[in-house]
Amino acid sequence: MTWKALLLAAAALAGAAPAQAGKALIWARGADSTTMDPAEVEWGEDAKITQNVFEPLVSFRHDSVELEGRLATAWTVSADGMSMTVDLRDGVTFHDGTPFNAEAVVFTFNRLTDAKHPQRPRVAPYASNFSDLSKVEAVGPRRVLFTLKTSSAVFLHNLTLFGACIVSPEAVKKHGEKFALNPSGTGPYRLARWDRDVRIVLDRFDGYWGPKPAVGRVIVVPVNSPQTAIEKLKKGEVHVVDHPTLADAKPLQEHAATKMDFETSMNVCYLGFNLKKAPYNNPDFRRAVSLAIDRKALNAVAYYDLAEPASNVVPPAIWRDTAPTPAYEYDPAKARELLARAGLASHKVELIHMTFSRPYVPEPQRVAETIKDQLEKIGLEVRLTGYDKAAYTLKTREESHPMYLQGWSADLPVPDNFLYPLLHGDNAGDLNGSFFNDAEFNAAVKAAQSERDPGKARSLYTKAYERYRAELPTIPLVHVKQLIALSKRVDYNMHPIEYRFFIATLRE
Amino acid sequence: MTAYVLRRLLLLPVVLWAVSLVVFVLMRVVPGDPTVSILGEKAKEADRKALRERMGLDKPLPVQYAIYLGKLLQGDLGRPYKAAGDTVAQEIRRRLPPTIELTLAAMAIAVLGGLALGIFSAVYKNTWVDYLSMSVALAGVSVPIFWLGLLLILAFGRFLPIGGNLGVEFFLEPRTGFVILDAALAGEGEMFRDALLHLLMPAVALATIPLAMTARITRASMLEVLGSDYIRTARAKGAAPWRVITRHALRNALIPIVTLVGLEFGYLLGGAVLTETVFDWPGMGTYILHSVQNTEHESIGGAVLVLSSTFVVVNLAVDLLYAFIDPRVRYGHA
Repeated sequence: MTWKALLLAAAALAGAAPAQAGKALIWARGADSTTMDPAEVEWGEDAKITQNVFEPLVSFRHDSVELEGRLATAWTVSADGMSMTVDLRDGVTFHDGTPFNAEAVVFTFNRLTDAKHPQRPRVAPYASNFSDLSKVEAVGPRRVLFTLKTSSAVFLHNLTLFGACIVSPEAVKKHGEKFALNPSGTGPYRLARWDRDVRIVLDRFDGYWGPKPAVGRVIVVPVNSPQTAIEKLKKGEVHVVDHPTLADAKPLQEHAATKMDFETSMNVCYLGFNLKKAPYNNPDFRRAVSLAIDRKALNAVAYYDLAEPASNVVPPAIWRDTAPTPAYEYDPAKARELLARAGLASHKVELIHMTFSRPYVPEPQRVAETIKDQLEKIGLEVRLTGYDKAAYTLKTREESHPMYLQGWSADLPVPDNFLYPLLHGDNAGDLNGSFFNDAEFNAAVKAAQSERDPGKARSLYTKAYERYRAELPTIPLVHVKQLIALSKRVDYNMHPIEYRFFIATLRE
Repeated sequence: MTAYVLRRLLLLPVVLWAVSLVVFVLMRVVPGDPTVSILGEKAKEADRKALRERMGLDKPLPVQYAIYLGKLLQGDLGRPYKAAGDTVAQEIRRRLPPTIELTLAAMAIAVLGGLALGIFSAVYKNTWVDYLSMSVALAGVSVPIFWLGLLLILAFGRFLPIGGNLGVEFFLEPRTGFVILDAALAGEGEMFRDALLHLLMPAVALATIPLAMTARITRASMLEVLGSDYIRTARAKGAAPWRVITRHALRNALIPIVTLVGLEFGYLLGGAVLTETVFDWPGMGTYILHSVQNTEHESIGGAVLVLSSTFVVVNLAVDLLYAFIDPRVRYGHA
């Protein structure tokens, strides 16, 4: 009887056809969301969903990082740069059926910035981007007035951040803390279902004010291992893998059922020096290290040629024509001379690195080892130490850390988003792990924050860049391309900053 | 017997207290803190400090532990720091059934496969059947699960679903949380088959090591029993050869095997962490992995406590099982 049952089961299983994805677009990524409340969003996996369910007032064009109105139709900045009036789109409703209006905008920003707000989110990681906001008020049903504490050239860009996405006040009041599980925005997709760690189902929002998405349903699934995700993609179980490894890019391009899409880099990977510690505080040492780094080799060995050698901490797509940034010189012989002159020949140094993958260091161990090899060629003895995420974040803020591998992905496509957090004295010991605190650099970056004349802002950034290049508190290594693996049934062009499910199409 | 069971059950809280203490200390001595995962790598130290204070993470460790223990005593496993919504208890309630489902399936494969391999090896000692079975067993104990999992995906991924416990386009409302059972209860034949297919690869991957261990112990134990006098007597009496093996020999050979299977259950729970990671199985394993990645102290604590209790209870059940298998075993006597 048992054997018979087993044989029957085996026969049934043997006849099983491989599972094929149906009409929904199935999107595989590295991990599940932790929240769907835009105010609580801190990392990319959460943002991927909220960017499709919610909308900010201002966003980017589909093909570039140029700003365009989303829920805003127009904005005017006062002559002194201290306030901004925003006109809102008419005929927009939230997924819960309530209307979008000036009150909703006021509610969203007050909730984000007011620590005593009754519907304050559990945490608000990006609230500090709005610390220069003094007041937001409705000056009409479809018009809001933002009043700032200081004139800001980046405030408009800040409105694109995920934290600034407009939420339905009624839904927030109704669900309280559980709004994070029951999101209600104005975006092209609404949440249909969230099975934690299994899938998120997004359905097209029929009441959407703009062009309706071509795909009616998107199912977002966490697939921890990129290898597993790629096997599923080749087989057709999923249509998109947004976390392929760099090594996968070429095979996937050549595979019959899959293709790749690449997007300009919005990130930087750099080598940092703790300026409070010897020998890293010695300018000759930093110059020698800079001369020893062969970025082309690094790109080939550790980035599969999918990065571009960096000549600035700010990626070219954001720096644009601000100032020429000549390539860093590679000259190991000169590096050795410098080390000898500084009395540091054969010196023992330490390089710490993260052990977790990041867009700018998909394989951190490989990057660290390549740098170690290059530095050993100029006679240095390099010890590598790896740390996991929680430990590394704290380690690079300590005053005792040595040389470190670090990187940054843009939240906003403006130079300030790189220069201020990573290098300004205000952030020394925070994100500025080198403790770089140069008066001229600080003044130029600070002045550029409120400079609304593009020409003057460019010259301030040029000055800051020159100080950075002269002092070498960090050495930019590469800017890494963004990549995504797709089924040939899918048409999707990556956006430089956001994941936009609503532009994807899926062929039968 | 009752006194023995009661005594063992009373020990459970002590074991759990020790587990809670060990997990608490381990989580706190590991560098890093939860505010990094909550606020992100880009957050400022001042913001993190404020959050640490709000969360009570700035209090001395004994005070933090006392608060944690106080909540545990009230049956409160706490809340995740980063993940919104559910409490740790609600999350565990959702994750435990898939892990038990996977573990039981792996256990069934390991015990049936291991017994079969072991018996064949013992009966056909020193023949090619024996060599082949034991080579399989040796390979089984030597292969790391995550590697085997990837190999299985490469080899069988074309025919079987890769990862998860049910196709993502199937919607099944959980009743018991056991997907196969829920599909059967809902009368959804296609989902039932899909769930079964999803279970195959992870269950085989997880079963490999215990299967190999069971096979080796079964072989050794059977060989010992098959050489004893009463087997010769049974054969002399003209009992059918396979009847001698299954009725006379196997029953006596089972004692060490049952012990091993009990221990294997603990291994399977541990192994499920790795297997679930490779196959994105939505159980306790992936839960623990994500909790560790996000420094979710209370989630890790809760999950480990629940798994430890399961382990202790299963071990007790195995001990009690001896009495049924071997009438000589008695509990609770001086």
